[in-house]
Amino acid sequence: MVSGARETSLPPYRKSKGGVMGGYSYQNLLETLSNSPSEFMRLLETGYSEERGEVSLPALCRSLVDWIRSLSGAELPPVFSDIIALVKEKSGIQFAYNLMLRMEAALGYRKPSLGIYDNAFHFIGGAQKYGCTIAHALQEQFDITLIANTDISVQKLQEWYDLDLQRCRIKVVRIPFYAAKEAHSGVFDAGEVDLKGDNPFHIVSKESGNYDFFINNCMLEMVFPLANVSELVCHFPEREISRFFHVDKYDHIIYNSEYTAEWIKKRWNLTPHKHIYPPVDMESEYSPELKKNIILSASRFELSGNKQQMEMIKAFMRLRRNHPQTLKGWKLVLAGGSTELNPYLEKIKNLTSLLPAENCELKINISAEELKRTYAQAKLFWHFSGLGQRDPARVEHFGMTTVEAMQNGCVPVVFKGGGLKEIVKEGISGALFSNLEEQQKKSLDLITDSSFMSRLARGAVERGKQFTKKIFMSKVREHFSRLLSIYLFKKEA
Amino acid sequence: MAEASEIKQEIQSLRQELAEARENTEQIEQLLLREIEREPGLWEYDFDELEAEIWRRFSTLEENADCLAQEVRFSSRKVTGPVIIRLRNLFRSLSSPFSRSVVAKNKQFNLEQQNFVNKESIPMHLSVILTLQKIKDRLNDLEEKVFRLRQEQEEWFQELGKPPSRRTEKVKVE
Repeated sequence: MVSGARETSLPPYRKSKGGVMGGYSYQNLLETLSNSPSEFMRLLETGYSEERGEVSLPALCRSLVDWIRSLSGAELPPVFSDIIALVKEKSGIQFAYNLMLRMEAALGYRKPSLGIYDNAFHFIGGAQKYGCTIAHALQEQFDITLIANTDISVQKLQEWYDLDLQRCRIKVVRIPFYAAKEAHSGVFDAGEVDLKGDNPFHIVSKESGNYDFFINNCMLEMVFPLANVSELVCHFPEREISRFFHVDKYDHIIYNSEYTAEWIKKRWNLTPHKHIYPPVDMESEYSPELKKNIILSASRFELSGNKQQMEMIKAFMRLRRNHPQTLKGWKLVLAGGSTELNPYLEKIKNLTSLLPAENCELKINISAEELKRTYAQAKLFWHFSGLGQRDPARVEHFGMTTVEAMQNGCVPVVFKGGGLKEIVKEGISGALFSNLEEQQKKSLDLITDSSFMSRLARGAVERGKQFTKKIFMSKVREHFSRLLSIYLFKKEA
Repeated sequence: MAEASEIKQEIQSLRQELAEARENTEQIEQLLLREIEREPGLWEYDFDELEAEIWRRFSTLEENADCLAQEVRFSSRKVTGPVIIRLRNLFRSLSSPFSRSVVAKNKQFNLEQQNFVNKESIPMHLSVILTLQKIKDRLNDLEEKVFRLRQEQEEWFQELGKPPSRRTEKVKVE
């Protein structure tokens, strides 16, 4: 045995499939339990001793729930404790606990609980907004706990994402492995985990077992789900399969774009289940009269320059140089967030100083309201992220700001790759380019043809309506309502 | 229908017991009575482990089974058994001049193939591992450099009297 593998006497994990318990159906079980509890115990033991199949939690739970509902006495017969004790002994504490959780929920003794984990809840981000909007959409049906890595308040999350999360609570689960590192930098990288040691995320895995439903919102593939129903939200499969890879143990993978789905298949050899585009709520009344000759880019000024603002300025300069008359009066506005010390932003500032102030403007760390005003004024939206990239993770997985721009009638001219291809329909709601020549030509076509521009602007507004918070929430509710009715035995799986 | 409140309490207290047992169990494997982590993949082995694994997996190539060796046959049937065996042996001895020449050729071919695999395939694998080892060493060097640069960065931050702020901006952009 190589040093990486641990010696153990435990059998490998196998997720229990629904339907049978050692070859017996739910009806058989219920009938036996009602007629002869001792025979039921014998069946249960047989189910454990035979190779025919594992004891199925849904079948066992459903028969117990219906049996309890049919009881005429005021107390539970002693055989119930015997059943739970046997289950605990044979399948483990977690299985018995899950059984009790589901029974309580199915009997209507309490609301089903849902834990949503994100190790970056303390940062503003698209993925975190996704998780919080799920919480907002489901707080009527579930008792929700947002599991964070560091202190963060519900009020802060509400303020950041403009959501009502009043009925949610926060629980902080710190990971000792990262405690010192986080204090240092505020972020943690799952790639730092030593795959030959112990899995540091087991503390989160254990926490997941406290809930009826568990959502892993940060695509952390090393968290082993213990809840009865587990969902993994994948924004992009960042890491390869490793020893601590547990994505295949989740019941469903929810993905944000077809591009992400494609990479889940390629990288993890798994087929994701539910496609839900992220919520984008930058909608406003489209007013063509507000529009000015502005080309806008809205992206974070990343230290790595991944969003390629530098290339955008160069492209704008080239366009001005080659078509000075056409570009007269046009302005490039680069909006985005940045850290205090950002060498990349300094380079951008140096480059923009070569342009007249009326032709180029930087808007750093502006408020959401100001960003919305800028969207409303801009005619064109540029997004270069992904251009010339080989690493699929560096291509836009979805493209939230592109949708925000579209919702405000800003025509997108964006890189033809990743999630952007799904959002923008060429010649209907915007333009796509594969290289800079194409980008220059398509931008120029729009600038010179105002009727073409306004047609695409209307198309962009229409397309932008497909990605609203309302649509996101209805898809989330539909998915979880279906899961919930199966979980509570209101509907067959 | 049973008295819901009493049964509810009984179920709740039973779950509470399980919750406590759960809290007191540290290892997830013990909670599930199952092993959960995967065996490490080939990509997770270090150089020595990979080399050992190659020799282990290819060890059957070293076995030199003699397919021409005389098979010892016996039968448990008292009366008909010896007759069947004799008939079989008779058939074998009659057909052996032809079959042995064919099988011998085949054996020779197999041996050549086996030697080819031994000579070519395993060194090829080992050379790939060596290349990977070089890449890994280079990666380690780079990681070390990054670590040193981060330390320098921290020192600069301290000199400037500013905290190392990252991703703290509050703007709704990607």
